[in-house]
Amino acid sequence: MSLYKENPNHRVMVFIDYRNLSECMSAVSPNLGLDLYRLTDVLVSNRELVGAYVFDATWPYPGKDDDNVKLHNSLRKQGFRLVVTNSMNRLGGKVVQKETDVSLACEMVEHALLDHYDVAIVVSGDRDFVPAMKKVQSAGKRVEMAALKHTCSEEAINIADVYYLLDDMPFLLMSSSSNSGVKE
Amino acid sequence: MKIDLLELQKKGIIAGDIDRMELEYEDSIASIRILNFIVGNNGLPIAHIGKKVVLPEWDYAGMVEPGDIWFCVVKEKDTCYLAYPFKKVTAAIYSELDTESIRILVEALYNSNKQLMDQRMKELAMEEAITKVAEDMNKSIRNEMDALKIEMDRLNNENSMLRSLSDCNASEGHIILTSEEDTIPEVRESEHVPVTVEAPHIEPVPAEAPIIPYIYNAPAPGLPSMGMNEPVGESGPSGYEVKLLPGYRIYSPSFTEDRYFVHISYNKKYMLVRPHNKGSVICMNNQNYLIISDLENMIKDGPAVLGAEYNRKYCGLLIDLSSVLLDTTMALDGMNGFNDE
Repeated sequence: MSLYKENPNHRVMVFIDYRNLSECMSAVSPNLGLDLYRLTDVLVSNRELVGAYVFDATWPYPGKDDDNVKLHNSLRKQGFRLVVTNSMNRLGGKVVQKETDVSLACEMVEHALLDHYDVAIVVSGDRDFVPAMKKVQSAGKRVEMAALKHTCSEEAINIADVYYLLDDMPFLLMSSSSNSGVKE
Repeated sequence: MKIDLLELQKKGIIAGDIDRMELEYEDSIASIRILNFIVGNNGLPIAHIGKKVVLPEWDYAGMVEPGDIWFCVVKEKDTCYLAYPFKKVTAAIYSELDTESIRILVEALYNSNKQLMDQRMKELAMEEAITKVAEDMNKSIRNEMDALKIEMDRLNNENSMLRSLSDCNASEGHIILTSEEDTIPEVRESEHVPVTVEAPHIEPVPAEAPIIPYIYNAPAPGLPSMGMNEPVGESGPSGYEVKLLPGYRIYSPSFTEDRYFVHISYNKKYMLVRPHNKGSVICMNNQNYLIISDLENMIKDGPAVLGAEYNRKYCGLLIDLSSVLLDTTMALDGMNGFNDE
């Protein structure tokens, strides 16, 4: 049981840290499609979705991220609002994205202070979001978090009003042939 | 609107100027008109008498501006009229006139703009009526709300008074009955009332209990997930028969549609099947099975019987794959998320 009940009158805004999720997925299931449409649909449930943001970073070199640009455009067509920065970088042999977390946090706090939503769903388990989540809660909003178990920080789980474990949630799209990727 | 020249002269509206005009145009068929000048096609001021255009005479063109109203001597010339403006109609002009002259002037102005003014008057009347109705309605609503508020306060007071009385009396061993619904049967501990209790009707437990009773267990510290840890599944009257056939074919008699969306969870334990006309998995020739090549390398090949139930939360058939999972550990635990700096 949870203290919080789903209220169909609640306005929900979803904030997805795309890279955080997609990298984990592709590492384990390269052929499966990460179906953000389905994921958002399940997380929002019967509540009113007022906005779904996807935050991502691309390489700042022309032509290097053509596939990602296509993906971003298809997400836009599904109704997602894309916030993309050209801030991908390589640091000490690791690929890192800059600005994304702060962009997400700013957007989430701004919308909360402008009373654009009642419930924020953060699809990321990154501990960096904890201060923003606290601010949003201070503004009288509910913060829900959805993340894979092994990517979610203990601190973030403790702060979130509701925590969705994504490991058990069926949102990876399968197909008859491994290349088809029709989305709803 | 035509103005009687002699009458205006008599009233002294156009005293000095008209003599000059009369002299100048004594041989012409001229009349005096009040003209309302507007912007013509070439940007110059023009007026209309009937369907004919009135142009200011060249010498006077500079003093007439679009929007002005002038007393003009008007002379017909070819297909149009020429106007000789001699007195501008302004608010100040009314101070120079007596009551009768003002009446004539206003009447003339009214007649020349009758249609426009009538329309405006109607609009004003309508606006006034709407405002009045809105005010009346607001007032009545306000009154009603005030009355309701007073009634609510009264009821709240009554309620709190009754509650305090109830608390007070309860502590003294009395029972306060506030309404008929609250009636409590008078049963005391010392009195033994014979009561016949019917054996509760117990639903027979189905032979096959739901296979996935609690799919979404609260995973970790913190508040449990909302809804996801509820027993959301529900079997149909005859349950859902799902089999894994060789060749990674998922068979069920309930697969009767042409296309399906099939989603799998990250840990590969649960698969959701939903019929959808744009689905990416095709049901082969109405043979009630789906071929999902993506399942290769994830699960053992069939045959096997899979647990399944209809899931209201996901609006689809949720299939439990844990019994045929290839690698249950899946090397997930050692993984880290994407690097954010």
